[in-house]
Amino acid sequence: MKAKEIQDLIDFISNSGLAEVKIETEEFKLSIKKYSEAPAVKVETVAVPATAPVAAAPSPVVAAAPAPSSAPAKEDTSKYLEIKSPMIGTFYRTPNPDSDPFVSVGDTVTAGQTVCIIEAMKLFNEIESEVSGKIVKILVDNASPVEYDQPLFLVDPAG
Amino acid sequence: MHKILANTVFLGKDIHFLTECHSTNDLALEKIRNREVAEGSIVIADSQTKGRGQRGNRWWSEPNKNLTFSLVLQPFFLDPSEQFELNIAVSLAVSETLSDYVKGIKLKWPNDILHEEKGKIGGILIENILNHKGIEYSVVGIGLNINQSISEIPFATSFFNLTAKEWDRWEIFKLLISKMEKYYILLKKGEKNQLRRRYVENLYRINEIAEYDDGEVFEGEITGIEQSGKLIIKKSDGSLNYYGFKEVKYL
Repeated sequence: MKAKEIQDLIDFISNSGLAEVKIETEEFKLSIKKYSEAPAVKVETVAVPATAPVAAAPSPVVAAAPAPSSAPAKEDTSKYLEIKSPMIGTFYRTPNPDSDPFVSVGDTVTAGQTVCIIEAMKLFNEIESEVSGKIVKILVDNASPVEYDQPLFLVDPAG
Repeated sequence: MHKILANTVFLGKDIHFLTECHSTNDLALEKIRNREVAEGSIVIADSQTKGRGQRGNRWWSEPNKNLTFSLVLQPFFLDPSEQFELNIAVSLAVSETLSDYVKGIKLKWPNDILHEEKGKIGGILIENILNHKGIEYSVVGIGLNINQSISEIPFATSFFNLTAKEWDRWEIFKLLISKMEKYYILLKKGEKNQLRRRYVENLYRINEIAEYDDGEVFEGEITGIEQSGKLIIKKSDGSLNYYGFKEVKYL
């Protein structure tokens, strides 16, 4: 199953009224769950595609698929974690136009700390990091549009 | 002051009164971080010195005349992509409260409350805290011009201007909170389509030909909103155009 197909499936399910879907074939097992009060799977490494409502079964096919699209080609970023956008919107690094950024490269963040704002239709969302570590790269320019699940920051958990 | 609301089930059982603060939303967010508030808590200030409209735009308010407060909610039942639904529910609560006393109250997309001829009477500013599980908290900030007499600001008005009398702000606050609770419960029950339909019916300039600017000036007609909350405007060539906030100006 290709990354695009998985993404399409997720889009389809998130627009449906279904809360949870499990699909199993000879090749793979896929389990998708929408947000509930129970936490979904946490991000463990860059390669695992899941900040979000996706609880991927431990099938190599599913786990490996989205990696090529999200991992930058040049440097080895495999030891870094990503903070991803939980929604479509506009990315802001500062709480207000005249304030300092929430975080900059070299800063240490702890889980639960606000790292940016994403605005959509004049609703403002403070995004909390779910990981702790040192910010090694900011992947999106201030005031740019971001997609759902788009990586925003690279974090070195050892940093 | 140690008043609590008796006419609600869970909203306003914990009210933090301040004579003055920068912004009730900022304070509510700070109190969430300090674990001093929970779902249903309200922060209210007699005057707000640095109230915010959209990023950076100040919401100016004369001391002790208006209503500025923020509600703390935990709409975990909404996916982050559905957060416009909360804006819809709150907008309807405010407009319905005012409409019991004044005709012509409309919702200007996305989150202004106005009188169709006299102009803006208030606004809503929602700020959420999102973690990897979804919406953790929503802070719903509401600013309404109540007893302030407004004459010099173009297309802006107050409840005083519209009704030609002074109002007890606490009484209006109580009515607002009870409506807010009613709409929040409807939202929680999943009545999204009904709320959405009523929001669209109450939109300022719905189904009217008017001028807009999306980079160029054009005549068009607002026909509704798209799933995520984008405004839909039909141009004279019949094309439907979808706009996010700041992508189109009302002329």
